Amino acid sequence: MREEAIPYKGIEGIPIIREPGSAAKVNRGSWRLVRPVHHSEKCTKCKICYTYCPDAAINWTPDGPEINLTSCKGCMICVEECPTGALTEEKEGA
Amino acid sequence: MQEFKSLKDIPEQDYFTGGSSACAGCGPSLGLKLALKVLGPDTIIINSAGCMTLLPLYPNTPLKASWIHNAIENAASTAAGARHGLDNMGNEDMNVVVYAGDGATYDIGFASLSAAAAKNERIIYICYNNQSYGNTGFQWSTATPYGSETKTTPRGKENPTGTNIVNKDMLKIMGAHRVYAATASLAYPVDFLNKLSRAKERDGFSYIELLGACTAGWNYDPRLTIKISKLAVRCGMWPLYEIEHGMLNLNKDFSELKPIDEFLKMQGRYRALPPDGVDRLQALINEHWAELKEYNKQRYV
Amino acid sequence: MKQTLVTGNEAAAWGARLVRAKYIPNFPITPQTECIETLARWSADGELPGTYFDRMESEHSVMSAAVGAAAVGSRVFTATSSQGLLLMHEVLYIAAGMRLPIVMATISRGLSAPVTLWSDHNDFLDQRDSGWLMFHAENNQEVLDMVLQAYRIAEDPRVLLPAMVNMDGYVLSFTDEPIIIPSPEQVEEFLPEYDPAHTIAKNRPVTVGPPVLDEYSIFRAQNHVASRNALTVIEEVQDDFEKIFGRRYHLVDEFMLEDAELVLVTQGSMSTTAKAAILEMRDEGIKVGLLRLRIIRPWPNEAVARALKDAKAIAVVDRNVAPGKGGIMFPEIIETLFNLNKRPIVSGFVVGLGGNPQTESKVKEITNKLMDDLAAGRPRMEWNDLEEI
Repeated sequence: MREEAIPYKGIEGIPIIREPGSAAKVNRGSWRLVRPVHHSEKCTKCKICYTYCPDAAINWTPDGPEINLTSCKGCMICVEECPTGALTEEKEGA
Repeated sequence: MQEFKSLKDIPEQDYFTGGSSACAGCGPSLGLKLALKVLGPDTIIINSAGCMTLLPLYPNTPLKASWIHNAIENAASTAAGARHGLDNMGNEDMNVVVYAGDGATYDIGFASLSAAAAKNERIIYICYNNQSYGNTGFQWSTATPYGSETKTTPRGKENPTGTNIVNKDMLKIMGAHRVYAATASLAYPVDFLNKLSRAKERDGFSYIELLGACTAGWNYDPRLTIKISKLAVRCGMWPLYEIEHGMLNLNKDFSELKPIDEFLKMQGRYRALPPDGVDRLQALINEHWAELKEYNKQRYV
Repeated sequence: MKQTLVTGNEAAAWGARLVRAKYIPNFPITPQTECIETLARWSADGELPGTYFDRMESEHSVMSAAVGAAAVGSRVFTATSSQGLLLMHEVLYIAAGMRLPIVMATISRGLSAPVTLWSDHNDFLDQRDSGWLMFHAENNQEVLDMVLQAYRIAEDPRVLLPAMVNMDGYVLSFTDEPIIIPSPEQVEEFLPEYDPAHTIAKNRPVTVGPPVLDEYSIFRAQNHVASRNALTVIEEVQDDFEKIFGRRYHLVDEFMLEDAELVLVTQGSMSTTAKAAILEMRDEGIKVGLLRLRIIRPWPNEAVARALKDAKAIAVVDRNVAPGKGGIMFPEIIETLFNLNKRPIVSGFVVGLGGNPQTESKVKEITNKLMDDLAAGRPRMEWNDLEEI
């Protein structure tokens, strides 16, 4: 077996992932059929949407939620749970 | 040790990002995000083969903590090894936490779990229970409730009930190991994170079973993950309680349980359960709830 | 130098003690029990400071816990046999795939069904595809020496693979032999501190063992290359070992091969008996020698080919069987010699399953059969010691 042709990669040849949170750059936007839209005038900053997003696609800012459209998969949990209707559902590509 | 009183107290720093290949609306994925807020980056998550295994996919991971994936039946023993390895090196303040599905916990990994609990290893074992083998497409496990359809307990002419086996009482079994055991629901994140917070400080084994609402398996619109997680608690399908030193503490008590019909209608896995199956299931839930009420604040196991 | 009477099990335990293994998960199985019991006594008496002795509920969990500890950078030792070794089979591949240099003593015992407690090599050789380095000891001194060397080889950054050291159950594991136990200072000089860069550490969050897509082949190829790298590392280690401990080992053990026309290829403790038989046969003028395989993985093909190239007839003595095929090492030897200009006769003998003793007379029987094969120009593959039931 011509294994001398296979270079030895040391640590790089070991199946580990060293960069924490490297999935943040992966674009899941193509999964969406609908997207959440925030209406700040109705927002009471209760943090429910931020807490319940399964993909951490909502960043919490002093002004309320900020939707990360790279990570958002369009599950609509945030829209469903928002108690004031400050998050509404809109079709992708609208 | 932190004690959270409301959502507003939950730490804002996340050690979990988006970009994983988990389903949109995945309950277990949300559970891990929440858990990591309390556990922090000096944590090793030991994962059993299951849905969560595919959160990291080389070279990407949504975690800002460490992760070891061994096989399906050995998360608890791997965790024991990691725990003692860390302690030997003076890293007692790092957390060792198992995040395993119900199949890996109730079935194939049961011996491994039981021994780790029996030895009171200083680890937190979180079982995300989607009441099936989810990652392989939703097959029956011993955590699948009576009346739920799965791919290996499908409803048919000979068997309209689907799953006609009544579950073992896993919480009581874990309580009998003389460790801390509790249930949790995604719709009650303050309760979940308080339990986790206390588990972090405990000098022994903690078992937390989180109802992992599963949009793909249970067959419901992903937006309903939290509503279903809440209704499960309100109708007694998933009571929130804990057992410590054999004593039962019912965390969320209600004067009356909601009937299960609304809960069943929301999910495709229950929709075709015939009326006598629904009655049997309601009776089982009522029985369990009555037992919990009776033994609340008393010696239970 | 002072010699101490120890069993094979104790010799392996001494290896674990001298390298100061930090984590020893264990589960009992005959004939390994005395190894872990020795470690338990030392642990209880405080003679293994900083080492955690973890009783697990199955061998599968033993290896799983070993993976957990190794993945956070701990030096790990464990031991098992037979059914236990097979039970942890899937985790062996995982440990090798994660490149964790765990060292395990395997105390060879025949496999069920039917049940036997006595030794053969099926359990050990069954792991040859797992990616582990595999060493096979002939006597208790070599058991201890191989455990010490295994850590040095396995932890080398050019290798980073788990290693198993096999000894025959009962024959070595429960038998006292006089050996030299090195001092902790000598071992400290030989074996540097273990400080890996590919495991989890404080402020170094790492995902160990993730799913991969197309990269799978690349990682598997690295496993293979790392194992082949071990051949180079082993030779370097033998030089250091001789300097510090005064004992010299080689990739293979050659016994009277310089002018041998007939060669027996063996592994493990039966080699000692065979060597005694060979000395007697030499007195009768038979030009017979022995090649003892001490390293099974990585396969030392060049060393084996060099040792056997001048033989006229070779008997591969397999203390194992692959039912439906024959002895396991038989085809490995044939493959190694296939491209020689002049191929010797290679006969295969399946012997000693379930502890059937390999006496001097049995060895002579095999040699005589080999002589017949050489004369007839035809090799054979047969069972040699099926006694009348």
